[in-house]
Order: sequence, then C-alpha cells, then structure tokens
Amino acid sequence: MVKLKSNDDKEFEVEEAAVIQSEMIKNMIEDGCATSVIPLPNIDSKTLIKVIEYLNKHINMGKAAETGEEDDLKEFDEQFVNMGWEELFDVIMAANYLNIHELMELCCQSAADRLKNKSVRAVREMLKITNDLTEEEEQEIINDAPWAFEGPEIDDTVN
Amino acid sequence: MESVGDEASHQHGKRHQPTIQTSDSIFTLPILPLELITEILVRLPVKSLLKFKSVSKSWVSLISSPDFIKNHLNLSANNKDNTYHRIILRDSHPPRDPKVCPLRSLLDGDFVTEAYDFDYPMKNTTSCFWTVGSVNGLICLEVVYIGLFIWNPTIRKYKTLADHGTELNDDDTCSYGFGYDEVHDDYKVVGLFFIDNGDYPYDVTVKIYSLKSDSWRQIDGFQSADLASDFAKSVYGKIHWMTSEGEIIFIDLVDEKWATLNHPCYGEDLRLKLGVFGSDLSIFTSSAELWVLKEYGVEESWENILTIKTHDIYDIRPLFIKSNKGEILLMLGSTVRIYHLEDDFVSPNKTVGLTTYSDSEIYIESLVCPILQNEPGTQITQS
Repeated sequence: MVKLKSNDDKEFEVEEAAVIQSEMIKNMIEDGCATSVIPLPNIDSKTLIKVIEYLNKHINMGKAAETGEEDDLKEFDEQFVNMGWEELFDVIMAANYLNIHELMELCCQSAADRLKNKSVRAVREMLKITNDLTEEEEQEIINDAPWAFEGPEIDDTVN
Repeated sequence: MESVGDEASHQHGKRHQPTIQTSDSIFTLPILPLELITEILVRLPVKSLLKFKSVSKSWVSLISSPDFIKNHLNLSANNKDNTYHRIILRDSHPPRDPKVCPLRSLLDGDFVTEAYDFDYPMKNTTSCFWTVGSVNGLICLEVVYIGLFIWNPTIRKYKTLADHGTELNDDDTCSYGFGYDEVHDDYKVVGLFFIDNGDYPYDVTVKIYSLKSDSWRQIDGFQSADLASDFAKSVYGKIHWMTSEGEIIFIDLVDEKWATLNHPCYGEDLRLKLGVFGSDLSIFTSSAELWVLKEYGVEESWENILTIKTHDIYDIRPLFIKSNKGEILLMLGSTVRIYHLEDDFVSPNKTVGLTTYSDSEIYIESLVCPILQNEPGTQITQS
C-alpha cells in the first residue's frame, strides 16, 4: 500500500498496483522515495478521492479486454467525467501533475466535447478569458471562415 | 494568457491594482495554464477551432501555430474511432458530382449513410476532376483542362498550382502523384509526362512541384517505364507507381531520387493493383489477395492480410480496415460494402445519395493550410 496526503492534510491508502498508473508516483517508488507518506501539495482531498476512484477502477485495464469488461470500463469512464466544469479542471490539473496519461486523455476529451459547439462568448465566460482582440482583428478571423460561426449546433449557454 | 493585473504591475511596478480595472478583471486569472488549454483544444474538430480563434489573442496564436496544427493532425489521424476520417466518393454517371461522408458512418453499425454534396475548386466549370492523392488533410485535385489544385476541404481553402509548362498533345499522357516531404516540411506534386514522339518508348519528362516555392523543376534519373496505371500512391513521403512489368517504382520526395521497391507478388501476376490501405502501401492481386507493407522499407514485412473468397475480384477495391474487428471497407463494383473476414460475408450497400461510384479518396480533417502566410489565397464559399 502507498499513502498519499492531500493539501488539506487527509491521508489515503492506495494499492501500489493502482497508484503506479501515475508515472510520477511510479518513478518515486522506483527511486525509493515513497517509503512514508507522499504529500501532494497541489491536490485537495475532494479531487484526490476522484483520482483514486479512477485508479482503482482502472487497476486491471489490461485484463479488461480479455475478460469482456471493456464495456463496463467505458460506462464507468462516461459516468466518471459527468462532473462540474470546475471539478473537471481540478481533475485535469491533478492528472497532469501526477502524470496519469489515460485519465488526462479522458478528461481533456470530455472538456473538448463540452466546448465543441459553444459560442465564442460562452467559451470566454466558461474559461474566464477576457477578449483582448480588437474589433477589426476579431472580424478578420470571422471573415476567414464565416461558416465556422454559423450552424444550428452553436450553443450560447454556459454550462 | 496573462491577467490584466499582472501586465499592469510588471509595466508600472504599482502595488495597487490600477483603477481602470473592473471587478471582472479578477476573473481573468486563468484557471488552467495554457499548456492544459492546449491539451483540450487539440482534441476539438476543425470547425470549432476556426471559431475559437476569435476567443483571444493567445488562442489565435496557439491555434495557428505549426506545432499545434501538427499535434492536432496526429491526434486526429490516430483517433481509434476514425472520427476525423472522411471519404469522398465520385459518381461515375454524369454530372459526376463528388459526395462526402464520414468514414466512421460507413464502418459503424447497420445504418445507411447519406453522402452529401459539397463544393470543390472549379465546381462551376463543367470539367470533371480526379483526385491525385491526399495527405495530412490536403487533397491534390486535377481538374481536367484547367489545372492542379491543392485543397483542404475541411478549412475550405485551396491553392491553384503554377502551370507546369509542359505542352501536351492529344496522344501524350501524364500521371501525377502528391505527397509530403517531412524533412523540408513541403508538399510536393510529381508529374510524369509521356510525350509521344512517334517512336517507342515515349519521351518522358519528370517535373516536381514544391508548394513552398510554388514552382516546378525538371528532375532527372527516371528510367523510362510503362505504367500499369496512371494512379500514383503516396505513403511516407514517397510516391509509388506500378509498372506494366509488375515492378513498383518510387520517388523519395526528400532527395528526389528514384528507386524500386521489392514485393512478394513480383513475377507471378501482371494485374497487380497498387493501393494505400490505412496508412500503408498495399497490393491487390488478381487472385484477390491483399498484401500490405506493414513496415515501410522492410521487405519482410509484406503481409498477406486477407484473401477475398467470393465475388468477382476484378470489381473489388479494398479501402480501409476497421481496427481489429476483421472487417474491411471495400468498393465492390460501384457500391461501398463491409467485408467480414471471418465468415466471408459482404454487407449490403450502405450509402444513399449516389448511384454508382467510380473512385474514392479518404482524407483526415486537418488545419493544414495550403496557402502560405501573407499569400492571397482562395476560399470556397459554400452554404
């Protein structure tokens, strides 16, 4: 078992087979740096619980294909990313920090799917980005591909 | 994505927030660093990315950067569901208008796929066109009597190629190939011009066009050969032709040198069809064997991946393999079908909107632009 500590001082025990899906922790274990608790100063307990849930489910990833559990895992992934926008960002940052490739891919794809049909205004609001383009610059970008700004799928809601 | 507050304090060294800041500016602090924003954006389809260029200055420079375009292309090309592959099908009956549909819809399920009309360079002329080849989301088109075009159908932009300057008379023939030279990051078209001088063999002129220089150059070293087919096949920066002797000749786009490629079917069969299967070079024999060069440059890696048992093989053109499922997309006569390897079964025709097909081209949706920066280009406006 490997002990992880979140930035709000909560400790979690995780099986080594699960936790080594994190390249970062795998390297620490290989270098003999994981003998006691591993502090994770960038991750709060709420996010860490989500990450551990993912690691435990994906522990036997390789076996899933053989035992026909592929669909089960796919369903789990779909449920897993069904979370709020901010929460998803927290998991992306944690997955990036811990270097968990599959989790990173899953969450970034989910974020992309949510943004895909959003209007430009909605994206700016969702990601809290200030438009620093001049009106002329913005118009030039629109004129370059006006059809990309049209279509029944374009969604101006922010969620 | 620096916040307004950061910039202001760097510039003026002020301790307090400048008074021009509104309360909204607090939220300009990025939640995700640009590195992670990139990880998300690189997974978006092209249409969304063209739209999101107008989000902010940092987004427009990110989405326009060569590295981003390359990463986006690689992810799209390797998408395991083939989400970003599309196939152009051309009607063999007049008006021969091309149609397009997602490749995935042909591979998946039992649904009938609607193939849609779409616009292409010089559509308003009556000339018909051929696709010379497709690489990195760019398609090279030959519009008969008009010329050659390098076109990205996804971003709807095309470039009209400079004239190759070789005069062709009625009895003369030509064959083009299109590919990508990774070393020089350049797209190239190779033209073989067979000039009928009344004597056999024909005089052959070989010219190569570079998109970067927008010009043609004549090159030497081509050993005159009769081609079995005018259709060239391009993989890994090399353009291949099948000769009438059953030999594969190719030109390497990097050093522009000619060579021959050994293959296991040589000498047995003179009706070999060269193809690109997935991303690999393939040969389809007259006994319906499909051979694929799994590892380019390794002669031992030619693999006979299937032999189609039923049907008139003269009418079959394998197009694409559905990953690990033993299912092959192929054209059978003038229809598109799925061939199930295990039970030698061909699914019913899956497309509507076309009567018969004469040829097809698979391409990937990409941001790669055929028009260089600051160069006036041509945009296709379409409803």
